[in-house]
Amino acid sequence: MRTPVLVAAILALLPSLTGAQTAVPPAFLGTWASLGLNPGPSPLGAPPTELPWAALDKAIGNWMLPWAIAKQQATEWNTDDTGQVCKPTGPFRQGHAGGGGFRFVDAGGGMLYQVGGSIEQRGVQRIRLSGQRPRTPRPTWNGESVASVEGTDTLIVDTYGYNDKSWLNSDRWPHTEELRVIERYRLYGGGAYMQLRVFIDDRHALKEPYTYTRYYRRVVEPTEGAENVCNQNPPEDDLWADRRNGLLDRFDARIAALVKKYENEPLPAGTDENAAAAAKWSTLAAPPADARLRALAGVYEPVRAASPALGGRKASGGPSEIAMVSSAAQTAKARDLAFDPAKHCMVVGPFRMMARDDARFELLPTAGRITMLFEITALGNKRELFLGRAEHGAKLAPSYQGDSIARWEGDTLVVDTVGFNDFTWLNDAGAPHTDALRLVERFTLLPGGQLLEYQITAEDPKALAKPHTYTRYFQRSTIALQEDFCESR
Amino acid sequence: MFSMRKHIARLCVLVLGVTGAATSVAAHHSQSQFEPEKTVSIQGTFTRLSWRNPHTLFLLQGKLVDGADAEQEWTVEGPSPQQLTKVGWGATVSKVGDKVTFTGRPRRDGKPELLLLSVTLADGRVFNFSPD
Repeated sequence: MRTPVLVAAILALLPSLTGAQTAVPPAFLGTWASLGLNPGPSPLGAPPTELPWAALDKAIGNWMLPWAIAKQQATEWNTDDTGQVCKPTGPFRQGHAGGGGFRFVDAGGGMLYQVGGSIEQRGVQRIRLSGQRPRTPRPTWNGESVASVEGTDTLIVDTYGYNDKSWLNSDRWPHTEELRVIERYRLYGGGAYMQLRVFIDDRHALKEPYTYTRYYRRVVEPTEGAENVCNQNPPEDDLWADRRNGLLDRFDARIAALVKKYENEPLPAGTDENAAAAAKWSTLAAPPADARLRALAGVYEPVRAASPALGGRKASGGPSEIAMVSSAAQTAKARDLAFDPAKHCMVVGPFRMMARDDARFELLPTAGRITMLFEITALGNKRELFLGRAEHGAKLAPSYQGDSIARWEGDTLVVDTVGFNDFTWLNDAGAPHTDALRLVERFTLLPGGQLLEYQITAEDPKALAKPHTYTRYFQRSTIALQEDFCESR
Repeated sequence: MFSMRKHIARLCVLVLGVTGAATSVAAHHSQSQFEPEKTVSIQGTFTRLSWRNPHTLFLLQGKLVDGADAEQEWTVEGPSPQQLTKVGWGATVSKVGDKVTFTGRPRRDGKPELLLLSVTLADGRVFNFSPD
């Protein structure tokens, strides 16, 4: 399981684990119809709707920072509008800024769902009924919502983590990923009506926060709304796409004109004294002549031990069973596992990285080296395995990934690495190593070229009681590495 | 023109009534790029018709009715295909090359675009609707 999924699953479970789950007052559940989208009397003489739809369109400009006003004006009202092609428009235009009703559904597990509008354009607002608002969420159209309940008649939903693709209303007003929205729902009239007061802030787009109200009327269940499918559009004859392409063409022409202006920019003629060295380096950077190296190129992902792809072969061992000398065992015992580098998006070092279930990596061989990229860049970082160098440097600055030199033993690439710093752990239990750590890795692409056998041995006489070896298998993958900077973890 | 304005006022009342429905779709996008009060009529020939959700879109080679402007390509945005079908102007009624008169709200910045309120076909049939 990929770590973000795991983290999300744990977060979802948290309320039930901690028992801190808040029940939604039942009076909120069910279907609510929007009132007061336009100016008019409010139910039971409540204060009039503040900033109904058209008024909100105009008023938001009063609070926008100058750049945001400029962005609004540079936004084409139709060709830049995702809504014009039935793509998501975000929660505001399908929700309270525009009007429209919705249902509150108790989804169980401490989750309240708000479902309304065109689902393919708004999605579902999933509201967690406990916990704190997230500080570094992964931006999404609907953000991450946390709610609190006050008494039996007030529900406060706090949302953060919006992406910056939606508009705050239908008139192109932009926001950033710093947008924060607080919605306060209050029942009145014996539960027949509900006032929503919305508070909006965005430290990058707004001079100050603003607020507006909406009113809702309870709809007697059962209710059946008409199906609301936007994208019924056959792919041919897409005039909107043509218009957008036409718009982009105009700007393509603008930047092309600038590029053209510099096409004959003068550079000095003549030959530098380093020309010979430059030629040598460009040779090393070229694709390798060795067919074994060319065959290694590509993306690999860990194979689960029970996978049939292994054809009877078995991954064996792992970092957890390391035998340590007593001083190292004491160091491990004294470590606070909360400060595990792996939990803080820090480099974990090759020995630990290659044992992870999420160790997707890519090998980029050139004539002079193999660059090894990891999908989880924060943990795996990047390794350079140098070819054609027999010895490690005499004086190596200690580093996370060490100094790696690679050689062939038949069809097996053997990588020898020394020169590590002692910042990383060898396993989840905090096993330390010293700057005497040496790793020997053996990469063997098995016949057929789809399965990579991998063996790693760690030696560190100052920390390990004996050399420790484990084996893994990696399957060639056709899916490119995805960008993953560990930002939301 | 006066009767058209009265017609729009009536439509607004209708829209008010409809927004009470639980699943009513919100006004899809702003109309603030268009003149809020002023309407104009253009006449010309369809060069392209797009009956796609959420909004129909028509290209018209034409000019202002009784205007001294030169003929040019107008872009006209209408309500959803479903709404147009409901009032009787479905996708099969008009085709490229047909003559038509559109009435709607022009863009404030003067670009040849119209938010459609009413269609008059060459055979005299008239269809009125609200923008959404």
